[in-house]
Amino acid sequence: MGKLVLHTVPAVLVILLVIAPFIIALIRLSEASEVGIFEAISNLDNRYQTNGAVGFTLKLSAISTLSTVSIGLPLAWWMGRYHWPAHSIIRAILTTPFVVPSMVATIGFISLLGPQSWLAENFNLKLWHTMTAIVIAHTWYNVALVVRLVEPAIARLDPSLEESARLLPGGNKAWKRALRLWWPVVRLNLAAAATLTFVFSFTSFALVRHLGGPGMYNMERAMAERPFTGIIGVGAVDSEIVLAFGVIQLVILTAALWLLTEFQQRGKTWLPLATEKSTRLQLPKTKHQKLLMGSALAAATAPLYFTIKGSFSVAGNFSFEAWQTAFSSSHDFALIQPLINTLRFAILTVIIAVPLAWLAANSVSTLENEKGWSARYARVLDVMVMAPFALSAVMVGYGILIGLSHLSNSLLLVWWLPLIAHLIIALPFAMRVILPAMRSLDPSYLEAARTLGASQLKVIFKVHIPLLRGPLIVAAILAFAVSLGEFGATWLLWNTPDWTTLPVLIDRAYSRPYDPIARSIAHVAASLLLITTLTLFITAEKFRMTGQEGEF
Amino acid sequence: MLEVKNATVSFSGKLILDAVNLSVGDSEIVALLGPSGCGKTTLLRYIAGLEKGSGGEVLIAGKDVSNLPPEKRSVGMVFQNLALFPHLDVAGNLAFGMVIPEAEKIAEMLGIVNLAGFQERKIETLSGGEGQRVALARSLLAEPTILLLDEPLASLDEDLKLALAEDVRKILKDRGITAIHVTHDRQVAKKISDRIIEMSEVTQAED
Repeated sequence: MGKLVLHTVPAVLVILLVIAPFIIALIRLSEASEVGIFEAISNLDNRYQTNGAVGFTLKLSAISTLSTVSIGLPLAWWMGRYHWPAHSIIRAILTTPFVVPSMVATIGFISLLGPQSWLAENFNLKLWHTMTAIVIAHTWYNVALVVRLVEPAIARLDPSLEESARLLPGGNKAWKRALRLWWPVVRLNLAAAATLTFVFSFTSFALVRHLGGPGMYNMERAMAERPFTGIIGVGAVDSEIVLAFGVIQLVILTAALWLLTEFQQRGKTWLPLATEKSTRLQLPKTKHQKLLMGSALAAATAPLYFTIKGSFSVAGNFSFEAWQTAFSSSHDFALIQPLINTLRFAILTVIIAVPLAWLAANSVSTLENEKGWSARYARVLDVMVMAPFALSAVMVGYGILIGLSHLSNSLLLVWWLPLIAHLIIALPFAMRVILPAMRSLDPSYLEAARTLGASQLKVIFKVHIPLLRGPLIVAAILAFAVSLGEFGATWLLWNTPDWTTLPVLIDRAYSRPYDPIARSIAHVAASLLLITTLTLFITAEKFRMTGQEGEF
Repeated sequence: MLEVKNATVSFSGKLILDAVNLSVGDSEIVALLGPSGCGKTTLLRYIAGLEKGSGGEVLIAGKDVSNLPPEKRSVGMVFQNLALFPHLDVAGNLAFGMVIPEAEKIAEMLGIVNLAGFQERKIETLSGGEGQRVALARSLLAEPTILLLDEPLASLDEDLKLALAEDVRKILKDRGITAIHVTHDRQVAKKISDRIIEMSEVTQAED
């Protein structure tokens, strides 16, 4: 009975939190739009609000992916192949962008590529409100992902394999070894990184909204900026658009995630950890590699540098005014309350999401090796917890906004509404850290505990949790960081100033182009988020265990 | 003391144990001998309740424990990889098996297994032989009715293996513990046991 409850709780909670609101939202959208799903999709290109959005989204994602792979692969190769001076610091710098909240990156790129930026003024670089600006930002974000996933595979390869290849006719030339040795080593990790890059670029919102400007809409942005969605009577067009985009997005993201799972199952070393046994070579004394690596490091840090620099500048002059104003309670964009809100949501996300992820991971890892219904249930539960990966943040927001309002309108005003979105988005990240660690845990520890007379509870608290301490801490940090930077769903759900989080405040402050202090306060908020996230990221790395197959 | 009747276990359609029968007397030490993959470990896991068979029963001291979970069978097990908890020190590992942990009992048991003063040692600092002794001590402190030893000496070098087998036998005999020791090493089997049973005598399963 106890076991049944233990294994049922995560499924029930995931259904209540994720699946049910999303299904209710789809039904409601269908009712409000007054047309069927196929008609809604076929109408997309006939509407000025959505004309070309699907094609633009696919094009943007494909170009971003190509650009990311083209830059990320050589960097991953250099990092995996050679031992650089201060290697771990270089890797930390190159992989940091991936954990930077989207609104912070947006601020950084506006400062870097905007009309009054250093690049625009000194090099006459006019990238503002172009697709190129968004591709550059996507590439900056996701190169970190390629390095993170591909570099360890290169660094971990047993050197004797390459040595023996050199002595055989099939590998006696560099191109032969590249084709027959290195490509098989990296291809699955690279494919996984490319798929994830596509997914993240496909669901990009903050970067498209701010860097793309008024005329550039991908599907995520076109869905998010529909204020009457789900309202029967006045919201027919908005509902139709969201319904059509939501379904297209679901299909494409599900296919991409299915691909990702395939790569995951075929290659055991995909998404490996930062700690590994190094087999790197001494760096050859060529200047061009060092120059290129130096440029990559400058590119990785530039948006972050400009984010922080902007917090000390008001109307182009060096000043502490933004920091002082940000922490005074009288200003419109005072940071104290949004900071409290952000921390409150993040702490609650950790408190709820990590135990829930542990419960779900425990059910999946325990039941997946059993026969019949238990194994099937484990697979379904795994997919259910991962489902939010197939939904963009905006769709998660709509699921809550429309799905829950269908149950009761009063729910739309409860303070914890955005918390549900944070939980849904953080849960699969936490699960993807805990589940592989749980799977790799030697079962004899738990069996030994049981043969020593330990009860189920004693096994959980005295053996299971202490042995998984590292992954649990990493999952908690990740859930905290995800909640801290969450923008799309929170922005959509934003209803009262009590719900303003730092990313939402940055968006609102940056939407006031005439107010220089507001923009500088946005930089202050972004700097706070950036410093906190980086501290968390460095802390998480310390808790990763060698051999632990964490996935993020 | 222990009776196994018609134990049947299969994995993925492959029969590992086919109606195995085994009987072990009170305070008797039995060595179960057989090549790798013949089902020795599976039989121990079946007795401990870690493996659910498709048929058969296990009786300990005349009581049918077939439907009891491992923690309620009063069966101790020393695993091949020892399964010493890496997050606990030696004393923590020993205390894990005790209902009420007592420092004196832990010290006494460490003395018995020739590891006096090892209470605060980290698991990763133990040598192979020391690890075996800690694993044995941990299982003994749980005061099991039957002790199952799953090739715990397999990874040791020949001299140490035989010396330790002698020590283990002495400890078990001094305490009157009923035990089954699984091994593929005939020398060790002879050294440790009162009786050797070939796995092929008790099972008809094919490898």
